[in-house]
Amino acid sequence: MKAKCGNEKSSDAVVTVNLEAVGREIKIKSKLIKMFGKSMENAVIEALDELGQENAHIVVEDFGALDFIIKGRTKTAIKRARKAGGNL
Amino acid sequence: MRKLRRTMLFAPADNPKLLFNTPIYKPDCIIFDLEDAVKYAEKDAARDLLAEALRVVDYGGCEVFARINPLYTEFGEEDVRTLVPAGLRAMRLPMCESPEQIFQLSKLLDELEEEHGIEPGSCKIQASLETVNGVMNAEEIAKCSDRITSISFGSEDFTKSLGAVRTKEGSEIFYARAKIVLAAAAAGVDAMDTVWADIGDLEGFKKEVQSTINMGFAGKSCVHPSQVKIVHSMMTPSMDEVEKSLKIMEAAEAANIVNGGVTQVNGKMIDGPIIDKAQKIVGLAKGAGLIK
Repeated sequence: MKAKCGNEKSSDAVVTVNLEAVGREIKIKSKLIKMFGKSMENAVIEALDELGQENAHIVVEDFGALDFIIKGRTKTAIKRARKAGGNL
Repeated sequence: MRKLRRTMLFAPADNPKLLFNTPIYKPDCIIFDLEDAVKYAEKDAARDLLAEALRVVDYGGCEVFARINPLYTEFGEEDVRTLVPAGLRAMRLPMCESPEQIFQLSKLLDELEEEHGIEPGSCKIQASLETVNGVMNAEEIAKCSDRITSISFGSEDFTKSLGAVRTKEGSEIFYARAKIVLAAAAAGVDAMDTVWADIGDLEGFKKEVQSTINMGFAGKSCVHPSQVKIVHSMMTPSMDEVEKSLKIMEAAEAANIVNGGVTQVNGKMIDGPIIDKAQKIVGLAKGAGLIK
């Protein structure tokens, strides 16, 4: 149902996904949220759209990751959660 | 003109920083590793990161390869299915032992190229020969598909499969390296030499690179950026060599002997093999940006 991907290292992000949700809820934790929060959120939305995931609660802990890293981490976390049986 | 492949710098694909900063070291090729450098539990994450990187990162003049997992593992096919639509056009197939393994990968690439509107045959393969069987079948593998652009040698797995002791001096791998260079030359593809794992031993590395050059390899796989500079400095011709080669080519053209015959430059006989070497030096110089 839940899955995680990424590391607490510079240039990386830890993305936690819970597919037992109704609709999409995205939470970003980052020192740079004022400057790049929207762009990080968009990276998560792109990942959700590309995988056709409508229901998900997503938490991104950012450690200076570029958007494409956040997108990749989100995709892997969603796939892992689905594999664990959480594709609602 | 063939692509310049003096260096092929390994970078584990599960390391976010390396996905965007490896081009800084200006290797001729980057090889993002999904195989040995990535833990079993992180194979999926490395593949997804690399796919996203391929979509957005400009790798400039570097030719980008992925070392995929072998197709007989649970990861190999998914690596190819994810990365080709993302833009991957060159991949190293590890532990390759037979033409059948190339045919299997080629069939999968045929399918993906058609499905995603990619030019047929544009996804290329480097076959990595790193077992006794792989080396023994080098000639058949090198010639078996138009997708093959190069064959590479992996000494660590090879010596393990042979039961030999891996030494820095390398006599135990001399025959295999020579066989791979010959097979590549016969097939008209590049031969890439094995890695030098002792990053701290740069003098030992230089000796091995000299042997890489002497034997006729097109380039060397590198495991650290410090190795890239050394290979480039040793595999790039000097301006003196380039000027001499240009004179030879001019003389050959003027005497109309490019396709056979003999002439002289500064009192020295010039014939086919010397013209071929001059063309190779000029090709390297152009690829390295020394001349236009």
